[in-house]
Amino acid sequence: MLKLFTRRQKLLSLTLTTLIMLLFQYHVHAQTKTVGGKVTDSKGEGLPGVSVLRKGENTGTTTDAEGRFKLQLNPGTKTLVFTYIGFETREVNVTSAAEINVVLKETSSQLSEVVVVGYGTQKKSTLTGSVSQINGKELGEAPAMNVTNLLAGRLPGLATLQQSGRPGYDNSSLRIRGISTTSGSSAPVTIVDGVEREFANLDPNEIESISILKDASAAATYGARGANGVILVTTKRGAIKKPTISYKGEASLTSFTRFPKFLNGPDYMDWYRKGEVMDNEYLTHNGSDPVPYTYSDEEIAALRDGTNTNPFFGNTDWMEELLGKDSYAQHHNISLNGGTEKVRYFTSIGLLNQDGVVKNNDFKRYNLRSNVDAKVTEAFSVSFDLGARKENRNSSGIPADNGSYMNPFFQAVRMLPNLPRYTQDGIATASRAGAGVVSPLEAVDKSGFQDYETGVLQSGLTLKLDVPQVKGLQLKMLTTYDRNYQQAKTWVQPYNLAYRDRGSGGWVWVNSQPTGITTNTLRQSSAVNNRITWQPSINYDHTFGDHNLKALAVYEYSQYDENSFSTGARNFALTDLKEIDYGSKASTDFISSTGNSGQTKRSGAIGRLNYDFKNKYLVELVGRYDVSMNFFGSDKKGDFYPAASIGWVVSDEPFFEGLKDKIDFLKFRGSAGKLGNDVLPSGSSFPYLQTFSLTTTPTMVVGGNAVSALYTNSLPNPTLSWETMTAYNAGLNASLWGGLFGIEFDWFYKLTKDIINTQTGLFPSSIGGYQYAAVNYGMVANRGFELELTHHKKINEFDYSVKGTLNWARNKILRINEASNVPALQRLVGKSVGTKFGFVSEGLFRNWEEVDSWATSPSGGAAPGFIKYKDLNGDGQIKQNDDFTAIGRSNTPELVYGLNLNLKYKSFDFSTLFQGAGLADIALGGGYEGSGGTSGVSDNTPFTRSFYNLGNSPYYLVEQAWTPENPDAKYPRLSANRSGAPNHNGWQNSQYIVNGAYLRLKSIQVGAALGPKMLKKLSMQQCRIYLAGFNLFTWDHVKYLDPEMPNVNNGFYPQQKMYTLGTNITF
Amino acid sequence: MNKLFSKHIIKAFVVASLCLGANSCKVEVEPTDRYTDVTVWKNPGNIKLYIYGMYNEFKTFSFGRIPLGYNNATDALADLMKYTSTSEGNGSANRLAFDPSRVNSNSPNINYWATGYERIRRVNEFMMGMDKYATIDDNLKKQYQAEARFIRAYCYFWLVKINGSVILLDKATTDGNNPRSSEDDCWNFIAADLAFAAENLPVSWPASETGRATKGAAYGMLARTWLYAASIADYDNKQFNTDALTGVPATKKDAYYKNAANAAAEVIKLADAGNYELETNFADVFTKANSKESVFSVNYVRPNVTHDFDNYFAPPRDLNQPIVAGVPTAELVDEFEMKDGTKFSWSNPAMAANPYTNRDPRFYATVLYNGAAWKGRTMNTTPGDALEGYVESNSNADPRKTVTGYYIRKMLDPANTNILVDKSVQPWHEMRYAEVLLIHAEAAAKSGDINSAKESLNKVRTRAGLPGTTASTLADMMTAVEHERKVELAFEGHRYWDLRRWRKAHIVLNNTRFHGHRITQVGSSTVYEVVDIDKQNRSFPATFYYMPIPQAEITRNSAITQIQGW
Repeated sequence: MLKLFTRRQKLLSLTLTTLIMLLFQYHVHAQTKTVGGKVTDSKGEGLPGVSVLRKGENTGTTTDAEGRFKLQLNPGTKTLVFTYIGFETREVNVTSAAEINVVLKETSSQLSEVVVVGYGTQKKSTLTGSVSQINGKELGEAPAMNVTNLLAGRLPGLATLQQSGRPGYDNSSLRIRGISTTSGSSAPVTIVDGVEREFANLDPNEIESISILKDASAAATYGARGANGVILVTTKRGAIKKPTISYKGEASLTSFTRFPKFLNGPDYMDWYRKGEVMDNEYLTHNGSDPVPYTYSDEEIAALRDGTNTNPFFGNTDWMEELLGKDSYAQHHNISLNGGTEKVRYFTSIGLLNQDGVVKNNDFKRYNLRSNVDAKVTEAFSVSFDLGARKENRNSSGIPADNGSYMNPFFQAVRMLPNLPRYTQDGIATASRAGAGVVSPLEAVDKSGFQDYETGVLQSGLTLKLDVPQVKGLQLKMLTTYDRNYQQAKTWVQPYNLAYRDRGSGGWVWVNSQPTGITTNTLRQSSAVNNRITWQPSINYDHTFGDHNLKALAVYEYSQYDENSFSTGARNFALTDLKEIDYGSKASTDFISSTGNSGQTKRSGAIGRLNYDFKNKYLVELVGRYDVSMNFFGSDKKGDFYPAASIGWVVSDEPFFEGLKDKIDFLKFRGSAGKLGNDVLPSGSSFPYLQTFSLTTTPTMVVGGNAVSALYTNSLPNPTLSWETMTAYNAGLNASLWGGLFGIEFDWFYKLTKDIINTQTGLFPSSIGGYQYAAVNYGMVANRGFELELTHHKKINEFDYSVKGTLNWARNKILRINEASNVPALQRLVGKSVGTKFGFVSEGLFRNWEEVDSWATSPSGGAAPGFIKYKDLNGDGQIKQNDDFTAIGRSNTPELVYGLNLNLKYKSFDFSTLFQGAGLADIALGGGYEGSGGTSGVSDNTPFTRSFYNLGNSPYYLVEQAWTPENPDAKYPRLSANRSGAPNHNGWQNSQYIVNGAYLRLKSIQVGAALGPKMLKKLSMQQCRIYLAGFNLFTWDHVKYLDPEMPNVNNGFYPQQKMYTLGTNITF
Repeated sequence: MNKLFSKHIIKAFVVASLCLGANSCKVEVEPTDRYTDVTVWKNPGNIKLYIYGMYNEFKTFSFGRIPLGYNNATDALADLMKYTSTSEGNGSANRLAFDPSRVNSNSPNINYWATGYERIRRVNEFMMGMDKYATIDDNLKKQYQAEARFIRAYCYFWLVKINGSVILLDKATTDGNNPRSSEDDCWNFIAADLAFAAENLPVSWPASETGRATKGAAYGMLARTWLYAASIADYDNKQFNTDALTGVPATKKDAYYKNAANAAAEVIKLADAGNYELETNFADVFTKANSKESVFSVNYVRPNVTHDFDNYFAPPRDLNQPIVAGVPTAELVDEFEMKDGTKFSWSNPAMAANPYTNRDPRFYATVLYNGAAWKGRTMNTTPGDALEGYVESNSNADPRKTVTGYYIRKMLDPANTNILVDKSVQPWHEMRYAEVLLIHAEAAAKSGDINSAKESLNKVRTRAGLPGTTASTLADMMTAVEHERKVELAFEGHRYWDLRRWRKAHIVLNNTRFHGHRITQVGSSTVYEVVDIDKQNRSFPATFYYMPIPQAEITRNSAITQIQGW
């Protein structure tokens, strides 16, 4: 903490030094005459905080609480400029009068709002494409650590899915208008300040706006990469105003949204015995001998009534110790914004420190930004942008991540609660579960560490020239250089554990070590990548009478280089210094090192023409020609992506005059165009070349030496090319009753063709994989709509606004590479991407007669309480081939909605966001998708099968498991897993499909600001403190785990519930 | 001034744009992280690495493994070994032995289809690439071809062993619709590959190349192949399956036994020329590097090329986190003769009182028993020893200690003291000279040459320190061969497949239970009690002689039909 504080002090002093230098510059002007006056709104109310500047100098003052100002005039001052957010800017000529009273008119947001689009900006009123945008202020409403998690429910057309809350690894997956392809990537391209960059870890305070380009017209500027939509992030720039320093600080308490309650020691023993009774019923029914009970009645009774003296038993709540604590996070940001007409600057420094709920799993981030614009001459200007950050992700040697083998969750749900914390000898206790020995607290405390440091440097230089001879013609050249590095240092070490074992001679402790960690090992890796982008452009913007013309031509070239290597050492004799130098030098202890590099290049030329007549009839033509290295062997090395859109502002027509008081703005829009997707499925780069790889570790011994093997990669396909999409959009924007209500509606239809289909599972394995890795084949149609309704009203000092967004997108596979004899029920054609397949459950078997009279099990046997799979073809056999069918939707929701409410009364403010999703499904059991490091296996989890892997069980599961006394149970037969019964219930089936719809109280914030008088006394512009909550309530169907959970998991790091106390101060 | 400045700027702009533009229109990239076909075949060193990778296939079935999920040993499906665990995964071998209803075309359990055919494709791809690009001389090409076909034959040998009638592909093809060939054609296809290999492979490699296939290895595999083909012709006779393509015509059995005997005789010839010999000490075979008994083996070296046999089978005190996947059965222990060649019997009071004395010396190299000396300790497998002692089968789903009273000794590395860290590097002998002699004994006997059969069998017995066999009829000779294969080749993955090719599995492994010995000390006397280790009856339906072809193949290949009965 002390260390942190000093670091912050340093940052502060640096900022202050910069500030002081700038203030000096500001105070050197001579002073002459003074004017004063009052600024009011149309109702005559004084407006506080209006900026009053001397034109040409861009220095001045702001109005006080009553709207009054006083300003000294310089000799050259002829005009004053009054600017105020939400009002139209006014310029007033200085007359001899000493009193200047000004009335400002409120702006109608629909008309004046500027929207960021590809390679430029456009006025919202004349925009013909489909673009949604939010500004930085809205992002500040939620105390989140990752920008991608701030977007849920705020942008119509964007669906988010956040499957992890692990600090530093909690990105939401973002989908614009759902999913339109079955191939590798459905993720939108993300552009920060004109260049492809990640934005999740920008500091929210350095973001000016985020817009998403949804239709072909808007995304066509990104041509071969635009099919999944585009996210454009614009960072803040300096404004022509007095320098202001802003500080934002937040402290948060975070905890898990959900985790089920697991059995305690005596309850565990009771339920386990009940499971064994069930298992013996199964064994004797099948003519096998019953198994003896694991725990005696005396042992169970003693633990329950507290008289237990047996050192082999205890009652430990592992979950509580692992997950029960709140953790602490803090976020600070200081920014400086200001400038003159010559130089404008925005600088910002941010610090985020987030501790994990699971110990030793935390995240730290430092953000720095400096965007400077300088006008060198009247015609020539330069902008230099610099963004830098450092991210530190530290975790235990076995990280708290759903996808890691033996992760702490995986261990916790398998750890027996009837163990003492330590043995009599002080060794940490453990449980043996399936293949491994687990001990969750030791895994977090003793397993070592995984430290990742990421450094990001983003720099960009823009040269801009307004060609003096041609009015409206601007030449621009953007050159950027980004460099990212990631260094990882991983130390894992064995530690001692003791598990309890019962032999014929009674209970014993067996000493062990964690599974897979047999010797202390240090691994270090380094990855550096950099991207250069070169983007010259010509912009023409001119008005000829009623004709407004804008033209843009851009050439873009980008090159991305990657380089990585890793090495390590093990068997350290001394472990105090964890450096490779100190590792064992014996050849048998060597760790093979790896190294690799790669390069990606792309280039494209973009043209765009916007024309409108009287801002009423709007036309946009846009096209991009792209060349991609991914298909260099193909005949079609490049492709052209054109789009066109039109708009009609009906409300400006003379015949509309009579409606104008009700509908003050109404615009219809329509667009059509072509987009592409050139992302190759992973592992299939250079699809046109027959390539070979060398195994990274030796595989064979020849002549006593270990040798690596050279093996072929997949068969080259020289004809492979990009996916193309045709997209149509129709929409309208309306503003009713003078801006009281706003409506934005969009309908879209997208058809993707030539989808790159991988051929896995298409050919019989007898040809041994001798097939093209991928071909252009698939076709997906995607349609949907977005609706945004806004309402804003001010009643005296009570100001409120409501924004509701709703979007729905449903895709349908029209064509996909499927083997001709795939059964009709399992065909993907006609279904949505991500549809879940499995057996249909008809409930649970009630008795042996029912089992015996039913079709044969796909696993070779069933029992009462097992899931009764429907025999779809009635052949008396349940087989994956005949009886699998579509049983659930994708995890990515089709329906996403949000309701944002903002209230302001005097100096108090309140905002809240409800966010929800629907038409999505989750699979609790079935095909593993990486949980605990397992993939491609169909099985149960500790949340669907009692005492799974001989571990513990949650209360809900055993209480709702099938027993003869509970024949209408939700979960299959209670079992201690000692019967050796087939894993009949482990197949993907509809019993384990849960509706993934949910509604969350995503964020809520209450703020109070100091009044104008107080501010003046403190020489502050703003001072506000607020209390916020995030993810406070969730209404859903899963109940015991977070509804955005990954499919088939063994426990994961859910989204975080947070309480935040924060402050904004502006000087 | 401003105007002038602007002009310069415009010029600079244009010049800079042109310079940058000229440099930034090329988007073609050469891969930096992988080789392409042209570069691979240009360099003879690359060709070697390419073919070395193919040898990886011999690991698939090393140490008696079958691809059944975990590190399972085939002998656990037969009467030599008991899998200790009954839990899912670890106990897969048990479940297959007890519950045939688990076997269907969706989960055939014993399944080498996809793995085998991928290797076959790679081998074919290698030969096609060599034809197309390689500039090496023809003799060298032939030698690589021989190596490739040796590996292809090995893959097919397993496919045919498991499924009987499979798809024969001598070229990589993108056409997925291929029919099965008859089992007889399959065996002949394998034999042709091995004959070519035997013709063109060197007798031995220089020291820097050991580990690659040799002439002797090819003949040995050829002998094994013909023996299997002959056995099917001899014993199957379509009694268990009516599939049109399975089985080998009975008329061919004599020729095939003869072929087997001849191929084995070629290896014996090579041995007589000094290339192979039986180790004097039986136990040495499994730990010694470059043993002369090895006809073909997979070698290991630390730290990267290791295996985990010790980890899976060593007794609990040997390592921190024991697995003890499988342990020897009483049936195997009882099979070992007395040192003088008489049968062991529990009804003989002298033998029963001291069951572990004066047995076939191979017993001591194969099984760890109560009282055996091991890694400086005396094994205690009585229930009294909490860590290593007997525990009742099924009393614990995953006991990780013996349920029979025995542990495996054969193939464990007695010098390995840090098993989890160092892993295991003792070699796996895919084929050793003793097996070739036993193949010869069986094939020669079946060909009517009892004398040379006896000669070969006795070589194996003599090395073990036992008197020669007394068998003189074909029937007695076959009993002697079966006994000898059981004890000599225990845990080397032969027994289950022998029972299958002799079409005896549905008798020996069906409707029966196997046993262990619970040893307790009562006063001063040791009590040996025969215990049921299965707790339920084993099952081997006759349909198992031909395992089903995986359903995915049937679904995606329109030219193939499923083996009848599945």
